[in-house]
Amino acid sequence: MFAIADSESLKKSFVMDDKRGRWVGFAVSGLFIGLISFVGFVAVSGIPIVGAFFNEICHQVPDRCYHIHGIALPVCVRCIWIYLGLATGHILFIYWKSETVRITRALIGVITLMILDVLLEKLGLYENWFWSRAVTGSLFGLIVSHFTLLGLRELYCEFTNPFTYVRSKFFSGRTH
Amino acid sequence: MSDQNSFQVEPIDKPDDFQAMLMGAAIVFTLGIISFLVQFPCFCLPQIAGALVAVYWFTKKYKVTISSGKGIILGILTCLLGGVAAFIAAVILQQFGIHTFEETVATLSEKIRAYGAKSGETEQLDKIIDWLNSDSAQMVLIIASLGITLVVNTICGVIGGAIGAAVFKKAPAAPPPAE
Repeated sequence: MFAIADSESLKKSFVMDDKRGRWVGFAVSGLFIGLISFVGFVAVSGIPIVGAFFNEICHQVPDRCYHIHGIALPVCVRCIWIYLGLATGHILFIYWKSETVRITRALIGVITLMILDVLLEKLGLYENWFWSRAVTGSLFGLIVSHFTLLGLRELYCEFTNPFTYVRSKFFSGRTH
Repeated sequence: MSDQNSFQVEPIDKPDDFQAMLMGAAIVFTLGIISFLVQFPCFCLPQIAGALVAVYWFTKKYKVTISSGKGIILGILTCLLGGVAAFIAAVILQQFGIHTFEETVATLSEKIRAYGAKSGETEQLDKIIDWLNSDSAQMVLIIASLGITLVVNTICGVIGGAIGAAVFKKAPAAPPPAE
């Protein structure tokens, strides 16, 4: 369905057109801010039927959720902070040019921390620490946004001109 | 033999991502169905795991490094394939009496009643519960759940594919161009 990333396409991921691809970061960030606002709206307006749909992505255990006016948000603390991390990271990494290798190591570190956080709590070393989930969740979202931004900007640059894309995809190599 | 009767031969080393996609989708499908059967939600983990497996399989088999954008496409397609298949299978299982729609409605109604007890808006919420028990509610909820499945699988595919493309590298990446 798609070709191997040849040197040209890899080169393209390095030379990302900042001005063209910048809005992708803002758009994705806006989407996540919208999602967080929606989560808050669901809790405040008290529409349990809408909140129930979030159970596909979150356990929704009330003890592990923030509360607004005594009503639990439909997603847990970790999820909220992952969304916040993603919203912040998609703007941060537009301006902060970081090495993918370093970020990959950081990602592995954060995933390890998150697993440790879950395991240590299960072992009973500590109970229901909101801050540990907030820290690991926000770091995870922040770091993941580096990779998603890189890929989405690349896709955006590839798909910007649909006619060029279709021509290169389906009519390349045809002489007539 | 004329050109019209000849056939084209695909190059042997042309990478085919469909196999990788199927592998990843199988993970998404299996974990999704297990979580439905035991009623233990796995959240986004099956989708991210499936996308990672698809990218890993593809890069390992063809000894290539794929860019983040290609990883995202592979991740999204994998998650959509596995997620939609799991969704359809779950709906079919519900028709055969496994975790039926009525059970889901009962759980939802319980949550709504619990909320009503706190907020005091019992009349409006009773109307919602009545509607949930009506025949039209089932189709609406199935369509809404399918929509949510598509959105969740797409987002998780983006995340899994992007991470996979960065982590699983099998060929040296091209050097950054000179300034």
